[in-house]
Amino acid sequence: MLLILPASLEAAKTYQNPTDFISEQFSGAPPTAKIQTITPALQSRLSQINGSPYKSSRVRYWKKGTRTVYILEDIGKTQLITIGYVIDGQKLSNVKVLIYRESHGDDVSRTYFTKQFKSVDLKSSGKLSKKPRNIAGATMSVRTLSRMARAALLLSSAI
Amino acid sequence: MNFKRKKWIRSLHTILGIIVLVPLLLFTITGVLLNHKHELRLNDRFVKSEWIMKQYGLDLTAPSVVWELGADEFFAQYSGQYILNSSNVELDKAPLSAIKISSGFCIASEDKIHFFDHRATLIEALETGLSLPKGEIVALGTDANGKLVIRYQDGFHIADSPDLISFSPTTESAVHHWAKQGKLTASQLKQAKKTLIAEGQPLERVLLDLHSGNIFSLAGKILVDLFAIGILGLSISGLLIAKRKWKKA
Repeated sequence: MLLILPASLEAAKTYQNPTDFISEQFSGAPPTAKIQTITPALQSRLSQINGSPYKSSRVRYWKKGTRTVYILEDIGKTQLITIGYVIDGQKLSNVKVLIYRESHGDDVSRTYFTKQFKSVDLKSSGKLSKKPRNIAGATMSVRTLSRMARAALLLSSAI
Repeated sequence: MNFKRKKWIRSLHTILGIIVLVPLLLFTITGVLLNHKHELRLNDRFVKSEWIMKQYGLDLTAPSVVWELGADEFFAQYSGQYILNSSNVELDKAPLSAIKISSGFCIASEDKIHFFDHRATLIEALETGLSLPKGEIVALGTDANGKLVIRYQDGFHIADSPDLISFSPTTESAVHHWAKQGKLTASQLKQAKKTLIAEGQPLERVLLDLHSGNIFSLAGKILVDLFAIGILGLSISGLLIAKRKWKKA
């Protein structure tokens, strides 16, 4: 008998614990998290480039030297995707899907997809300097990763 | 073709034509609108109707769970929708506790606390192990100063300040007040219902469900199937009538 679970009951795939991801990015010695308030001006800019404001009025970030790490999450199709973004200077140096909760489309967690974000920065128009190739069957997840990449770069530039 | 059979086909054609007229109109209108959904921005428009909300399984009569937040404030759960006073709030997991603190409201699931300000705007979604101490959340409380106390499976933690930036271990004796469930008053029920209906359903969703018959559940789907068979019957009877006319010609 085949047991079919609704998407909401299927277990989320945890590729890496967010705390471990942060620690890894700072060679095992992560800084204390800081709080970044998303001002009305920043929300307005986020709305402009992403089509909607960021869902909360503050985010945490970890910064040491020129490296900043954000753990952001947003809805793919119906479930949240938790993503780690590492920014060195003003460019993305690492993007990793940490927790994937959708029932389909987890190809976005593969290295062949996320490595497309390496060295990407934000143009003045608000677009990424390089658009990642879409994955058939994972369009909404691809859009979420791109949207959060833009958000991470913009937030980082405002620190 | 004998006379009786001709008459029978003609009668069937007329009856089918009358029967499918109304569903055909509905099908045509919804189909044309959906064909231009981007231009018409159907996903940005919302249908705010109690009847529509009921078709989507929203029971407006009573919430499934209510937490009392004090002074006529409440947090209520209605089958997947959540109301914090007069605002719809989005949560990604079913909550297990909700409480008012000095700086706003906290709504907890076992691994997350959604922290809202007094206007029900989300300040931050705090996660255990990242922005909260590790562990499984069991309940929420406040100390005598309205600071958040979290009861975990294996202990207690208290917020160091009202902004919930950091937490320290504590004991149960720090808790002055625990989150508690309750019932909505008549005026709160009215307010919650109004808030739920105000949320609405995207017009695109409603049109899709009308077009497929989904909006009326199984009965609707069967009606759409019968409509499709009716259209087929109309076409066949029409062809048979036309065939006779061609033969005559």
